[in-house]
Parts: sequence; structure tokens; C-alpha cells
Amino acid sequence: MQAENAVGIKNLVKDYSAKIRAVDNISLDIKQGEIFGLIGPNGAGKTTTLRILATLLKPTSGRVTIFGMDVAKEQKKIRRIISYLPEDAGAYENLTGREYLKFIAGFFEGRKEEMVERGIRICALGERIDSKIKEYSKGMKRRLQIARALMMLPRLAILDEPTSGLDVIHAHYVRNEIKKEIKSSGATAVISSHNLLEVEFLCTRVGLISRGKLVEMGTPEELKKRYNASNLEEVFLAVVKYG
Amino acid sequence: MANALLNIVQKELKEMFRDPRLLIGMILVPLLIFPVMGSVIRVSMEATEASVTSVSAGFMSRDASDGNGTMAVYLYSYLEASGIHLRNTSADNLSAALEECRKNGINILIEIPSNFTECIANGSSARVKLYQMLRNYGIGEGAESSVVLSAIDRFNEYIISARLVSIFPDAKPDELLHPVVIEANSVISGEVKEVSPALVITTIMSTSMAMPVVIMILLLMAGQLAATSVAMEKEQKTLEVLLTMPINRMYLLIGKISGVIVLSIIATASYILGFTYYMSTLTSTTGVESARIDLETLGIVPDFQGYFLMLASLFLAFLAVLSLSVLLGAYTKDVRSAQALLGVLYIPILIPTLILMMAPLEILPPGMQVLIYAIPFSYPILATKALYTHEYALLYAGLIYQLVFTFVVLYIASKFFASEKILTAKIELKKKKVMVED
Repeated sequence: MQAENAVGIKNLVKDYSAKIRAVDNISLDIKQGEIFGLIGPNGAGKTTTLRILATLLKPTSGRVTIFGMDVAKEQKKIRRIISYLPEDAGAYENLTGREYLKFIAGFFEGRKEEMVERGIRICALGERIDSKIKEYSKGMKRRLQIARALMMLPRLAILDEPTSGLDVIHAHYVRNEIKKEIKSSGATAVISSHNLLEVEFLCTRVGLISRGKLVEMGTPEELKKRYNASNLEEVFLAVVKYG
Repeated sequence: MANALLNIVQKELKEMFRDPRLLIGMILVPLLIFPVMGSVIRVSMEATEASVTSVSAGFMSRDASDGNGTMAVYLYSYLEASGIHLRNTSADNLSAALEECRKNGINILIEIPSNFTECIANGSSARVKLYQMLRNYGIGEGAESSVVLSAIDRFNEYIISARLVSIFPDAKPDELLHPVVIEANSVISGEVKEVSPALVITTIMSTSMAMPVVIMILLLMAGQLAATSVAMEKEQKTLEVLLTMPINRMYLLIGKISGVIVLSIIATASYILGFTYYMSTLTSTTGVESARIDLETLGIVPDFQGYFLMLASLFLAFLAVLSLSVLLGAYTKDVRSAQALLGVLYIPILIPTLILMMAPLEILPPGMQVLIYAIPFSYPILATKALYTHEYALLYAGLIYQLVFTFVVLYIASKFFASEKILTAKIELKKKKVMVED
């Protein structure tokens, strides 16, 4: 039996003004359980696409569905099953890590204590979970954000640059947690990243965006084979250079 | 969904009450600054009073008449009896006399002319000269010479009454000095009250002057707090996460406003406490309290309706300023831009306060009256005036206007929050542009 589409994007266009087209006629499907990587140079339209999936922006034209629900019409229903992690997302500095997780859990139906406990387990901050967030390092804040995004077992996790600016240890931890949690919960994830090794490690399929257009798509293995490359970085350079 | 709203309000309160900058700025500073100001003013006033109660002056008499009965001796005794410590100088010229005073720590020299007794005896003016060595140009120095001058005024009255008594031996000296005495009465709500209108006005002014200032400060602070709070959420991208939560976005708006209202109420209490203490320090020092009259006996008492209208208009003004500030904050990119843009809101808050503090609404030109009516922040200030005039009709109309204004702004803000503009609108300090990320 074919898996249900978690995300369906058809002819998506997003204009910010008459002169600025951020996303230009993108179409793609992401199946349930996939970890889909969105890569591309700065200003390619990755964040805009993720924000449309997160119901923050509306498409100018085209149709985007999440588990069959239209992002332009059924935002409230969609928001119950997605979680979104913006790049460089901050948290409330005067709350403790635990209070922040409780605050976010307060918006969702279900057993909130369980969500918070899961969040505490994912971020693994130990006793520091009861310290104020302003006392956290950048890596600790990002771990808290990852925990916040995954603790309510979203059906679709939208993660924008999840390890951006982190040191090797924190980045390694965050990557592993994302892979583990997404796999164990059977969720779907869309991840944008500039770290192509990370994308290769995490993603089952990759889409490459350049100047708002989807220029390449496939599994990391397929793409490497197609461009006779040893890693995704070489694929990226080849596509961006010639695409 | 009430839980979601409660969740947001709780978060707002925790964030604000744990922010030491807010606690210090909005609650502790008003509690401390007013008593500190009061104490400083009290200390300086007391020092001034002390210097005034112990005025010393050098006395250089050139009065040519001899014997104990000369007028210069009378004046000397009179000034001494008035509490001024005099020191006769033996110097024979002005500069030597001033130098002698300076050496003895005396700032004032009184020079009696040679024709002093003669002039008074002839009914012509004797010209006494007063020299004051100015050192710090402070209030105390001014008060020192005033003490001498008023004592000389009383000496004049003493001489005049002595002259008049010789003409009207049966009359009272005080009545001879004041052939016309006026008793000013106030007519309050049609009733004649035997109190001077000036005293009634001074008393009401001293009670009510502070209110518009406190209201203005609170509205400015609340606006600043709300705009900064939203801009901070945008700057730190916490808003981006909140906007993907499965809640009605109106709750985000209401939650933010509710949090600021709670903090503002506490800040108001702190201001009123601090200000009351400050005023009590001032009045007890300056003696204004003793000149006050009991407004209650005059029937000038704020009633329940007055208080209700004041609180209601203040609450609606708060809502209006908070809705506008949240909207302004949401339009900006970061806290710095929000604070700069907020200057636009300061103008309509400052205008009614300053104008209405200076002049009553009725005497203003029609154009300015319309402007005051159009500004929703005018009404709490008008309400503080109505506490004493009991003219409420305008305020009820004002309440309706404030309600409509607030609803319109809230509606626009809620539409803005519900749209993607909340994320894409990013006014920066000098330019308006839409930032496009990736």
C-alpha cells in the first residue's frame, strides 16, 4: 500500500511584491515518514517554502496541502499537527526551560505532563532545565527548541536550519535526536540546511532550490549517482553552477 | 480555549515580573524616586528656613539727630524685635562697613541716612539703603533680604498708624491702615460659601494637578512596554513560533494587552504611593497644608459617578494606547525601531495633558477643542476635572467614543495579527521595506 502524502505542493508561487518572487512554481510531494531535505543557496526560497508549510505565509498561487488539508484554508487544523522551528528561534529569556516547555504544551490537546517530560528527555539539559533560559548557552537554547518542536509528537516537523551556529558536539546531539525522534514517532519532517553532510545523514530525499525554483530532487544516493559526485556538496555545486 | 488565553497571560506576567529592568523602572523607581525627591527638597527647604529664621544684618546709622529718641534707634529696636540680629558697625564708610560685615559672616548691611529722623518728622520719605552680598544666588539669599524688607514695611505701617491715631484717637490702628477690607466669597453650585475663591482654586489645584501628570506617565509607560514586548517577540523570533500554535491569534493580542494592564495597575499603585508621599513631604514643609480648606464642607466632593467615569475612561485610554502600541510594535523589525516609532504615539498623549493642565477646555479655540475631543487619551484628564465640577454628560459621550476608537484599533490589530503581515511588515528606523529571507 502506498504511503499517504504528508505534504503536497502543486505549482506553488509566492510573491512578496510585484518585483520580488521568492518561490517560483514549485511542485513536490513528501510521503509520510520521510525526512525531506530542502537545500539551496541563500535567498533561494527555502525559508519562504517552510513558512508556507508552517501556515505563516499564504501562497500567492498554487496549492499546498498537509495531510490533505489546504494551508490557505485550514490553518487551525494544520497547526494542531505540525511543529515549526525557525532558524535562530529564541525563547523567553526570563522563563526556565521547564516553564517554556509547559507553556508550549499548554496549547496542545492531550497529556501535557507527558509532553513536557518527553521534551525534558529530548533536550537532556539535566538540572539546568530549571534554570532561566537567559543563562543557557546557544547550544542549550537550540536543544530546548528542538525538544519544544518534537515533544508533542507532531505529524509534520518543519525544521529550518536546526543546527545552524552550533558547535560540533551540540550539532551532533541535535542531529541524532531529530533522527531518533522522527523515526520512533513515525512523523514526517522537512528540514532546510546549509550543512550538506547533515542533510545526507538525516534525509531520505532531497530537493534543491535555486532562485525560487526546484531544480533537482531525489534520494542522496540518486543525486550523487546522477552527477557522478562523491557527496551532496559536489551535487549542490554542480546544480547551482549549471542549473 | 480560555486555557490558552490564561496560558499566554501567565507567560506574559512571568516574563515581565522577572525582568529586573521592568521591575526597577516601573515599580521600584516610582516608589523610591518620589520619596528621595521629597527628602531632598525637604532638606533644602529646611536649610533655607533655618537661614531665614536667623537673619543677621549690619546696621550703619548716619542719623545726625542725637539722643535715645531718634528714629534710627526706634528702627533698630523694631528690627531686633522682629527677630533680626543686628550688629552696629563702627565703620565710617560703606566699603569698610561691608568688609566688617563680611569678616563677621553677615551678608546684609542696612545704611541709615543722616536725615533719617528729620525726614520722618517732616513727613517726607527717608531713604534707607540695603546692601546684600550675593554669594550663591539661591532662594535662601532672596528670603534673607525679604525678611528685612518686610520688617521695614511693618515699621512703615507702625509709623503711619501712629500718625493717624493722632487724628483719629478712638480708631483702631489696624482699621486705620485698611480703610477698605474685602471679603471674597465663593459661590459653589449656587450656594454662597464664605471662603476665598483663590483659596478654593489653590486647594483643588494642589490636589488635582498631579493626576494628569500621573495619567500621562502611565500611558506613556504602558505604550512603551506593549510596543517593546511585541517587537522583542519579533526580534527574538518567539512570535514566529507562537503564530504556529493552534490558537486564535486574537488571544495573542489580548494576552499581551492583559499582561501589560496588570503590570500598569501595579505601576500605578506604586506611582500613587510614591507621589502621595512626595506631596505630603512638600505640603508639610511649605505649610500649604495649613492654608488648605476642607473641600467636603464646601460640597466639592468627588462622588461615585465621578470616580467611575474616571476609572472607566482611564481603562479605555489604556486599552486604546495598548492596542495602538501593539500594532506599532508589530509593524517594526526590532525593539529599537519600535521605540523610535513610538514617538508618534507620544504626541497625542502629551498634547491633552499639557493643554488641559494650563487651561480649561471651554476657553480654548474651537479647533483646539475639537483636537482634544478627537484624542481618546484626553478623557481621563477631563474626568479628573469633572470630579469637582460634576459635569458628566461630556464624559459619557467620551466613553462611547473611546469604546468605538478602541474597538476599531483592536479590530485592525486583530486583522493584522491574523494576516501574514505580522511577519513580513518590518518598518526600520529610516525606511519601510519588506525583508525577504531565503
